[in-house]
Amino acid sequence: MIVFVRTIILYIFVTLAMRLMGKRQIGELQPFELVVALMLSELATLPMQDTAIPLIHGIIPILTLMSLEILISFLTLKIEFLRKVFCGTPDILIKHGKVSEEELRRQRFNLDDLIEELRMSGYLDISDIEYAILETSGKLSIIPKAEKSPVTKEDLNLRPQATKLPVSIILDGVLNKKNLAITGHDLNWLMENLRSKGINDIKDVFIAMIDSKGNLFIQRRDRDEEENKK
Amino acid sequence: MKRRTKSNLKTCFFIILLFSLIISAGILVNIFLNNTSKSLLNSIYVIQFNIEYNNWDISYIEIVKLKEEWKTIERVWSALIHHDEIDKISENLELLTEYIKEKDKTNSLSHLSVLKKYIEHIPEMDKLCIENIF
Repeated sequence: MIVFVRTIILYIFVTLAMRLMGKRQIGELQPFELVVALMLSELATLPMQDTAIPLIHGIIPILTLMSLEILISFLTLKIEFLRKVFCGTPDILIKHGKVSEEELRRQRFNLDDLIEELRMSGYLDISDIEYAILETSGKLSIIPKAEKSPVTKEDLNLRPQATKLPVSIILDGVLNKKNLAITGHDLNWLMENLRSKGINDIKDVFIAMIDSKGNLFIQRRDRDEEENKK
Repeated sequence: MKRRTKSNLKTCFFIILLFSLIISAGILVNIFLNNTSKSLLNSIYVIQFNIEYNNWDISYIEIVKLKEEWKTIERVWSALIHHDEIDKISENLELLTEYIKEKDKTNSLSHLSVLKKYIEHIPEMDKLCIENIF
């Protein structure tokens, strides 16, 4: 029972700590962030299993690590020197289609790994690469040579319509008045559109949203469709 | 820009507050452990004196008092130190009570000495010093 309660407390605590540390903790990790994530998991599991360890012995290190992480990310944001110390700098592994032997050796990054990363990004030949940059998070960014890069709409002189942010108006039969106001329309406009699709009640709508092209997308609830068929 | 500065200040304030709280809590815990262990040790010295002079009845009264005091302290200590340390003290206290009851001077004194060491060790363990850090 004690283990059960301790697990709940520590779970809530670690989740809050991770949440306070920011979104990057669950995405791309910098070296110092990875250290904190590894330590946090270990710190939380020890007092969780061993009831002889006071809970405070798990909570204090978690709080300290969380503060240090926030402090370091704040300082690295402000001071470039610290950013270099804690995050490191990106390294160019391929420059103008030529692999830098020295950088590979320095980063202990072998050729097989490099070729594998290139293949995974859809490039088979090293000569197709203008730059391959090993980022501080350990990921490899690949910039192909101009002639090998994919064709863009700009290359074809196409002028696409600007993409708008999709806004949901009704979700699972519940109207979001705030979002409706954001779209610049009112309830009468919405009801008119719903009636044109044969829907008289908002509760019968599963999804209604303004899509990225500015059109209204409506999907009726399955239950109502089945009832209509009957 | 102003909003960003405000947010940065808030972060700094939060970190400083959290660090201050952790440090103050650490200092308060250390003071509490020192005071409570001193109080327990005083009772132990009284018991030791009485055992040395074969005052078994007084020793028994004192050990019962010490056990009562330990019960209250134990609850708070459980939240602050490893429970193995607390179990060791409780176990020794029980043994000591029985030896005093049986008027066994050698065992009483030896267990009293061990108990003293265990209790002295608690605030030492939590003290901020080079030996404890490394």
